[in-house]
Amino acid sequence: MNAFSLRNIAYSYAGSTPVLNDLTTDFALGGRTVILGANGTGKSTLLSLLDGLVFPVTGTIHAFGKPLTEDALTDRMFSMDFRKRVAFVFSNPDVQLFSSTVWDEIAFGPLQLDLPAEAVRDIVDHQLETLRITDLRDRAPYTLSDGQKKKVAIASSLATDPDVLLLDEPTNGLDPRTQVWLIEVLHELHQRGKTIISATHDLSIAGDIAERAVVFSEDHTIAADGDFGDIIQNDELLLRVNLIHEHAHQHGKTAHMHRHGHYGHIHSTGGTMHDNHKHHSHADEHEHGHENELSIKMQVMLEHWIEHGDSHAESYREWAGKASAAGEEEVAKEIYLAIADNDSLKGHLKRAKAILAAKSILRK
Amino acid sequence: MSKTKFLDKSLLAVAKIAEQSLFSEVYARKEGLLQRLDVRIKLFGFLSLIVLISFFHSPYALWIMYGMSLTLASASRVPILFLQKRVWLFVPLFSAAVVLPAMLNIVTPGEPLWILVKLNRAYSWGPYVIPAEIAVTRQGLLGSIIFVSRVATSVSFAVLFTLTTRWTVAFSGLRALAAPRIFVITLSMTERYLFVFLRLIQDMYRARKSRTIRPLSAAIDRNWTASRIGVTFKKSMDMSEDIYKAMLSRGFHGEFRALDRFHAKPIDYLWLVTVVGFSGILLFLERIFFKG
Repeated sequence: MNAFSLRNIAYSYAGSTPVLNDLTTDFALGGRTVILGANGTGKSTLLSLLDGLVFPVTGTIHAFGKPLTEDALTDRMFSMDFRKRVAFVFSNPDVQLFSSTVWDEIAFGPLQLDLPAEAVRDIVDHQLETLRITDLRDRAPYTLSDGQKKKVAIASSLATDPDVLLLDEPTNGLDPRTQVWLIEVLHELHQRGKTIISATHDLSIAGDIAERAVVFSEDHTIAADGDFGDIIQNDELLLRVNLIHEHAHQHGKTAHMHRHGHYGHIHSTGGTMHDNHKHHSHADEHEHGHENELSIKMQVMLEHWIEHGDSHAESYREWAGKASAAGEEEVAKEIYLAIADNDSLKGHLKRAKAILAAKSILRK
Repeated sequence: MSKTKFLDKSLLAVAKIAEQSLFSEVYARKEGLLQRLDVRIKLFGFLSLIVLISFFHSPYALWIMYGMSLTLASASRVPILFLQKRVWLFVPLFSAAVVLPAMLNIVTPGEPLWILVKLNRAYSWGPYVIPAEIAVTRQGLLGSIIFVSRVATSVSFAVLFTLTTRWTVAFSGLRALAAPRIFVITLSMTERYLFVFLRLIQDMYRARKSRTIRPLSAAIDRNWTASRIGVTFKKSMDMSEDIYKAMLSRGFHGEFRALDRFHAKPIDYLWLVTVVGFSGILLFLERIFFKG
């Protein structure tokens, strides 16, 4: 069953050019999709359409097999069911955090759905604990950092235990550690069968939060829709839709150009070298740059695991695979050992982190 | 200093003071007597005190009440000097315009103490009379002392309440006084987004300052200030639309539901009985021993 089915959707803001053009696609329940596109291509508008906040000028949207229209949402039963099943994490957390305290913010959704007071209290406490933000419970939103605001925004969206989570630019303004936290949370939600649809132009996180990618072009149509791994290898496509750019710079007296994106895992570098530019050390430097990026991200991830002592076998396996693919066999081995030997988990993770740190120093 | 510099500095100073006074909540986060109280009881207690203060006629009784506010401040780890500054900043503002004429025999007839002006004769317009000697009267002075003492004591309790209570908690406490939920929520959302826009204004000023190479004319400065007021208004409109969407997204359908999270303990009731009881007894004694 599809969470959403969109047919020939067009949307435009009053008096402006269309934001979405003839959009037809489906989002399966339980799937993880990332909507990629440059700024202004209609990603956020699509999420607003999926959340029933705006409605298409032409075309139809079905949510869980039922038509999603303005009229349908005036029906209290339908509206309550839909709002319970679909949650939206806005790009700007200040917009979403309108209550006076974190506790009230998380309680807002369950209360609007007419849940009993005791159940609301339990839900809020559970969310605070699960997302490790209990210390923020009585804080006012304006006293929080951007990362903390994002955590609270996610907690408040998850409070109704939705089937579908929509995230608009989820990594906006997040430090590396909070990005890792976000990847972990989304991974866990996926394991629990939740549908996750994220809109971003940040390729560095996209591979961690989705298997499927829908790519929007700058003419507001779908340029590609398919497996994320395939799409990320398609330089021509990414260049055309303005997700990577040709980066020109100078090496001594030689000017050259290559393609550059910010995808840190299976990096899509290796663009065409111009004119008489040879395959000199720059390519290696560039790759080293991306290895460093992966290494840094992996170190942050390991530090997070060490700090929290969590046991996330699925995440560990995924990252062990990434380490292995990047040639970090020793690191991969330590992570696999951490999975196998839960008692010495922290020890193995610490060793993996130390290996990465040492290699980073050597590279420098 | 040019007028526009003065305007710039004033606006930034207002933003800074508003941020400090509304959002720092330094004393509200301290571990003191008043900070520990249930907000409903605290709000009820302070309102009762302020109402009782209006019944006192003796300056001595009012000074005892003022002393009680200082004692409570001390028990709540609020520096006395800091509280005094806050109180005496407001008192002249509220009372000077009323008190100064009221001391004179033009407004309050009575036994003259100091003659300020001597006129050739008395003037009268219907029921209004300006005496030949304009003087401060004993009755006028006493009335003014009582008035200033009453204002100072009331303001002292009001400031003490705001200093020791986080705004978010204070707003939720209004629910206990049967204030409509929509009113309380609108108030708390206003306070919450005031901060966002104060930051926005500060950032705009800083961004402009960082790109200003030479002094600009006063006209350009004025235009810029006016345009930023417009921008802030536009942003607030855009944000309000987005906030409404965020509320809809989480099930809002025009009616607010909220949970009150109050936990009144015996110490809260003990405090209430003590301070209100003490004030009531003081009022009773005043009526017996002070005949005005």
